[in-house]
Amino acid sequence: MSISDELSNLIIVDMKNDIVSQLMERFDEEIISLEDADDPMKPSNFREEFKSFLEETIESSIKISDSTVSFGVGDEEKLGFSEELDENTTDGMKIIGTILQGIAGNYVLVTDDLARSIFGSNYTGHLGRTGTAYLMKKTEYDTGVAMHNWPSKNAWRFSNFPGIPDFFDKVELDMSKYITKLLGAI
Amino acid sequence: MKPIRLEDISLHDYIKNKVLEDFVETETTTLTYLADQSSTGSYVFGSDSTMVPLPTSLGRGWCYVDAWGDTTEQQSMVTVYDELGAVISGSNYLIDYIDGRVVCSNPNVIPYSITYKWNYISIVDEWQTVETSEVPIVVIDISGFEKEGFQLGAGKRVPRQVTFHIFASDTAERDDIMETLYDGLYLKSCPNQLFEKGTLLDWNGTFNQNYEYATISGSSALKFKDVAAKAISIPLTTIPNNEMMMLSDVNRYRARVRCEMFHWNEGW
Repeated sequence: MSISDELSNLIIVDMKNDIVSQLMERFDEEIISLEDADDPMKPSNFREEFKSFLEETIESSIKISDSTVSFGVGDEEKLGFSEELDENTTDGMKIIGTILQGIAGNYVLVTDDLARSIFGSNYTGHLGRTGTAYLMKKTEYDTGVAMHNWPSKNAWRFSNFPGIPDFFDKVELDMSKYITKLLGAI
Repeated sequence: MKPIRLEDISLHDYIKNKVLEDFVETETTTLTYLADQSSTGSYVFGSDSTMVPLPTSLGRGWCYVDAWGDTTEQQSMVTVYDELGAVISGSNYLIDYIDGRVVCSNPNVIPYSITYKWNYISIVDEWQTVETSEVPIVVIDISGFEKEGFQLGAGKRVPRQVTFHIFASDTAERDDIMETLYDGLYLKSCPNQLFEKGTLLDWNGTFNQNYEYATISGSSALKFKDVAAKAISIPLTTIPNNEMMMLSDVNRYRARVRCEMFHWNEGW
């Protein structure tokens, strides 16, 4: 490993922590503040999972060149920031990804527990092509409430939500802090 | 109107009438007399459209100028015929371009059919209205700004973040709209109009005959920077195991084009 690589590694962890810290601050302010406290699948339930996801994927994607620092979302396909969708992920990541992308229309979030209560013995334990949770149009769900006595549900709080497309764009790094650390290590 | 509202309308006009000018369809259909909307001296005829999406659905409407930049009402986008197939002169009627109606003042002039061009893509600026419209839809979302002063003298640079949310009916259409929007913004600009005597259409959907083209004094054109386009996918699907139903969902084929729109403004 060259000296420059070693110096880069010295500050990558600090950079990752600063980036994740700023992103989680946005997550708390712009997502958790809007959630429904009674929602069993509310975003705050997946806060730590999302943070770990960011830490793992951002650290591996940080690139330092002579004049710039860049990082990727990591597995952006899991959050929907790509045409291809990586479905090998959890309901929590899918829910957060959907919030970040935004969704038009009013929906009910159908989870495992809800599916068991509305489908009873017909429930197979694996709903939808992407896993367990999925969104059902509120109007369709209300038909089920009227015709099949499904439990009444409010629309998912993040229905008709325009998303946060710039979620990963507003990170600001204090380069002087890292330079000071690097100079101290030389 | 506030400057941001003028910028919004200027951008809307540029996107609808210039950038997406190729996404225009033509329909020839009959007209039906609408007795409930008519009165003495005002005889209203509505088009019997069979098109999908409906030309008069939210964010669409009939084409009201022949080309972007024209300051006068269209001459070639709408043609009205009588029962014998003869063209009725435009001086005999008004056109409601939003709701797709022809209004005559002379009871002896009876329109029978019509050929018109209409905007295939719905352009809206409210996310909430997407559900009530039909794809393809483009939502124009202008948000966030942080004005910066010139290095010397009075004046400022006024940047705004603009996101175009695209909702399409298939991947080909999505990619087509996405690239068209990108090309219409990259290294391009549009005039920052004053609209001192109103926009091109009046509140009732007819052409504003008082419209005057003028740009805002002391302001540069609206320029676009850092244009980026990307197809996106929604991790939570809406319909499980049912491709037929999935195709009808408005969120199925989506993309996003983002840029910074900015202009220079003189004075404080």
